[in-house]
Amino acid sequence: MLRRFSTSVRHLKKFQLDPNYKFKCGLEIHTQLKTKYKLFSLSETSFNEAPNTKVSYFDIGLPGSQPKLNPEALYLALVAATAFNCDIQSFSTFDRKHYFYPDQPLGYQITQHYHPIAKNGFVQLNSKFDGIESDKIINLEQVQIEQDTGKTVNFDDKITIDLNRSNTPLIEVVTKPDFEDIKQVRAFVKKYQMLVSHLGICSGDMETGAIRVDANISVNGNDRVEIKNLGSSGEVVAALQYEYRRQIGEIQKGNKIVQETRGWDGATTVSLRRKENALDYRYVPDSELEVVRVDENIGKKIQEKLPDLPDTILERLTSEPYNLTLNQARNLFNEPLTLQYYLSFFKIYTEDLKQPSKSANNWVLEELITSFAKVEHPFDVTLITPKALIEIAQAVLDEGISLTAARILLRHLIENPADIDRPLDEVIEQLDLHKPSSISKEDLDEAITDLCQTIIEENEKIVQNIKRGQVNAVQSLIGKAMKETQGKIHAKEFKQKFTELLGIN
Amino acid sequence: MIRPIVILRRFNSSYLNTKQQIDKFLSQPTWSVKQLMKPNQDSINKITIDSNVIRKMLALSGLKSDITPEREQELINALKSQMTFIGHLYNENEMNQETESSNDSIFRLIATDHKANPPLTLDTLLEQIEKLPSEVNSEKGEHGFDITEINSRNDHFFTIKTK
Repeated sequence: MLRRFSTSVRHLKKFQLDPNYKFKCGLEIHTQLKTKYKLFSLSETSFNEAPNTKVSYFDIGLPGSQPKLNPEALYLALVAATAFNCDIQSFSTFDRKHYFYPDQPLGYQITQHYHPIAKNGFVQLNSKFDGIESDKIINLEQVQIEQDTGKTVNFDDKITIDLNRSNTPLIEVVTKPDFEDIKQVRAFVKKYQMLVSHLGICSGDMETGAIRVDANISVNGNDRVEIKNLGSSGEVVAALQYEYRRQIGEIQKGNKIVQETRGWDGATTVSLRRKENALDYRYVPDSELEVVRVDENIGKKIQEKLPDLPDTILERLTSEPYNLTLNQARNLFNEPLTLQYYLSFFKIYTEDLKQPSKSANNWVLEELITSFAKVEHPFDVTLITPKALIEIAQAVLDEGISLTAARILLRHLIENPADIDRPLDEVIEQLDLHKPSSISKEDLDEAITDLCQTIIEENEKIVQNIKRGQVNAVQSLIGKAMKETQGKIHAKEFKQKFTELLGIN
Repeated sequence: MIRPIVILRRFNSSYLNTKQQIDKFLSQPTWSVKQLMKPNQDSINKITIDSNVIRKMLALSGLKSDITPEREQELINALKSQMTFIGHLYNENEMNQETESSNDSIFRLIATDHKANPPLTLDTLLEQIEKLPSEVNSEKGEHGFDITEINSRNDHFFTIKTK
């Protein structure tokens, strides 16, 4: 509790860089690839399965087992390299990085130390979409393919290991130290996360450890400090803010910044090891894995097949003809099925029915979504199809039903999905939602007058407020009238009648 | 490097005609590995291995580093002998070469016929992915297996230490 409290207090204080202390940062991002199988064996990748049920002999390092590169992992690494504008290397190799740890059964991790699969990319941060003040390019050093480790679970009397995660494919993306403030780091991590999940490279879930970040930070050109294993964009920001302040504190005390590796415990960064104790990984080529040679045009071919990238989609949705707000566009982007729904409804509504785009947006983003919320039903694009929604919108346009009646109809259909397949007119009839067309204008006017008078009599308090000058309170009376008539009569007619009866100007 | 030739010459002569002669010859070696590893004070002096190196090597090897000073000295001596021996494996002129700073080219796997596979195209790569489900192999344990078969103490988890 204490930790949570202190963290939240720190977040409340607005963080700002001190112009006297220059912030510089680079990231290493480990990203689990969304493959069916593992990197060098064909046991399945998994999350949260019973321990050691997703392991092959190679994954647990049994003698005699040998690695064979899974082409799925190579493909996804190439997609990532293409999306990050990297130079794909036609020659790349695998090497062994040695260190002893219980969750690493081979005694080494297979990685790409000498010849990574891709070099020299960049990610463009955009002031319009990424919440930063000005556009910024973050250059990438390289993308390398490597294995994940297992997990060590310590109990009181023994050390136990789950190797389900062992040999899961990862890419490590290394940026240049191009970040000049923490907002850029945050924007980059979010953008990276969005990009890899949009392209199906990774689930994008930082909470499940699918993306883990190491951050290198230096202040005023002093030695850099590496903060290992940050699990969310929030953690990255909090750890960097803490570490920036800590280093300034050291500099102000006249202390030297020690080059070291630190960990984040949720509240502070803690020293793990210093440079002189840095691990010597004794890299050697993996003598069981062949050199990877890819066609020099493979990047171009992948580029041709890539779907539109997030920025392109957001740009399109926030421009003509859609003109959505950035938030609406982001929400739709995050829900691909809803986006698809929106686009097909928009096309028919604006092109075939020749209606304005604003009204199309309103039907999907307001009327449809609100109707689901009102009846407490989770939003489901398959329930009311774009075609069904068009039919309802058409009925309103033809003045067969009012907008209020359409809302009642939508809620009814959500709650009674069986009625969706019935002819719409029949359902409208059953719910008695048609505008009264068979009675004369005089009779209708009389009925409206009667209803309004009754409402006025029953709502004395509201009426007094209106008479005291709270003119807007009339909306509440109109709402009651609409409810009473199930939206069959347009609100403006009630407004007119109440205005007349109450003598409002 | 001269010695094998000497042996060969002797072998070719009528010197080793009977089993006894061969036995006798083999029982009187003209040189030994020990001799080769015999410390040469000059080369030993050039090798600097201190306590820090030993302790770091122990840590990197995952071995205990709480050793006595005597044991530490033994390890230093052993390492120095090994380095002297390795020095003998190089030709005279190679001995003075600078230390290899990268292992990049050593033990890199090459194709058996020394002919590299043609570079992977996108189509080939996608075809390989298509075929994967048919390549899952039970003999490699890829359908999963019971880890207690390896060690009965592995109850759901691999257990490396019981206090």
